[in-house]
Amino acid sequence: MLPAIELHNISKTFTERNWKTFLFRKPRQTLALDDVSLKVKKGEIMGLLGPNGAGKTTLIKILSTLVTPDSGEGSISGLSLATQSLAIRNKIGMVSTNDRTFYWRLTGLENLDFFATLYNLCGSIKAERITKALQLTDMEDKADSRFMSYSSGQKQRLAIARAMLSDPEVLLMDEATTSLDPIATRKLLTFTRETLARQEQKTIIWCTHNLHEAEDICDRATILHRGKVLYSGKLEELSDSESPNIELAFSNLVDFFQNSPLAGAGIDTTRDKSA
Amino acid sequence: MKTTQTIFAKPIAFFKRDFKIATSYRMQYATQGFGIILTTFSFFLLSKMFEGTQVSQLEPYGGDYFPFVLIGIALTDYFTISTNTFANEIRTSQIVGTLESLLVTPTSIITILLSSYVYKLLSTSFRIFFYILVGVFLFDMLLQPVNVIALSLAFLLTLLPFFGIGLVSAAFIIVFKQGNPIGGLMAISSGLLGGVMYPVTVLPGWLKPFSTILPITHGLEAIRQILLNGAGLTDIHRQLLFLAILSVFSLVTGMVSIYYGLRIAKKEGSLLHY
Repeated sequence: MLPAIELHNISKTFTERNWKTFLFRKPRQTLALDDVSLKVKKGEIMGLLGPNGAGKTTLIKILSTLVTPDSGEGSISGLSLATQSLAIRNKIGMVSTNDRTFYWRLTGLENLDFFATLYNLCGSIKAERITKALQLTDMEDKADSRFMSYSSGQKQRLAIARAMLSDPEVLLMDEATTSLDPIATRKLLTFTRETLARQEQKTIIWCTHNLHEAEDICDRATILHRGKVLYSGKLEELSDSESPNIELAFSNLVDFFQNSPLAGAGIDTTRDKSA
Repeated sequence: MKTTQTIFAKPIAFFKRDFKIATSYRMQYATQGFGIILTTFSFFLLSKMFEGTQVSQLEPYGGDYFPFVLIGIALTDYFTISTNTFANEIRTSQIVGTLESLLVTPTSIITILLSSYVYKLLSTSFRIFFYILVGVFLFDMLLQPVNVIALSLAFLLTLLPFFGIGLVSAAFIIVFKQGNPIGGLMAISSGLLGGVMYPVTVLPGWLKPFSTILPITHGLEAIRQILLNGAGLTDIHRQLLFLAILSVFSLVTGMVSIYYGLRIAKKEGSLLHY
């Protein structure tokens, strides 16, 4: 079966550009992704883990066609990231931590209606999808209230409702629990695993820097550090006799990478247990 | 094949969005209406200075300053929003944070920009209609029967070059985020050299060539001829031809600019920066 997401050797470097670099000095370059390859099966929850600056958000932006990679190629549901970006956007739903992506003076329903139209939905299909998305996220009662009156949890649920409008095959969830309290976080994790992944069969990229959250929800995880894939596989297999818990295993992995003389030489230090 | 419903669905959705947001700030309508009455009144008073005197430069427009200047300021309103709306939509979405959610939908940026223009166009039309009502009913401005086809064509062909300039401005904002030198330059040169407040015949000889390359000069000339002298298509064909050529050139330039602007921003990863 065709993987839902497939990335081959994706690299991305950001180059600083301002008047100083134009006139006086060489621009600074930041390596965001270095030769990243990834395969995610349909219906799988793939965790994207790593400390701040690891390259997780850049990878999410590449998958959502907002950033173009310097090299490598990728596809979502068989559609090329390089040449079929508009078609890909029909296949993806994006949930980010940023609640400013909604119109605060509109109601939840008005927001969903607006974005549903941008997803090429109209008439009875649009109404059905909006109703279903509101039911799924348990937001029917708050739909007619202005977005500005929502709690953080409700805003996040509306973001998921919006992402579900186009009935996407892939959901990109970038730090989706950041502004939530522990109870709301727990609810969202359960909802994502049970409803979105198991019931709705969505392929999910769950981007987080919280190891326990990833351990809870993800079928597999890819750990990024300084743009490189350090590990890709089941999280429980990461911990072993030397590193009995996941946090220790993670920090050992990062230490290993940082201290390895091979790391800087571009030699692959990835431990892939997914095969 | 796209049905009529789906073609118009997105512009209507943007109109509804902007209308609902605008009407949630009700005070702005009262202040705008008051502003229009004050502006019109000040030009009415200014026109009193010329009453009973023959101003040769105004003779091609019927000799009365008040309708001349009212048409100038009313239409400048249209041209200004046509130049600025696209850049403003990008800039506001960047700052507010909605740009990401717009750009991850399967709607092209050109559709997003053009759709965001609908509310501005209709609200500006409403404002200009209000200007004319104030002029006619409060200050006795006389309106002639006009050639509607000629007026519509002249109006459309005057707007299109501003659309193109607006797209170039939006591309600039996509890449550089702040400042809008193209929009600013256009606004200053149009106000100064386009014949908004005074006929271009009063300009010094060395400035006249600059005036002739501006779309507003030809647009205002054509529209004033139609509204004030009852001119038809044949009378204004030279202006229309110039505007048509300028429209094609600026729209192509605008589309290409947006395409490359997006490419650069996606490559630099700065599309959502502000």
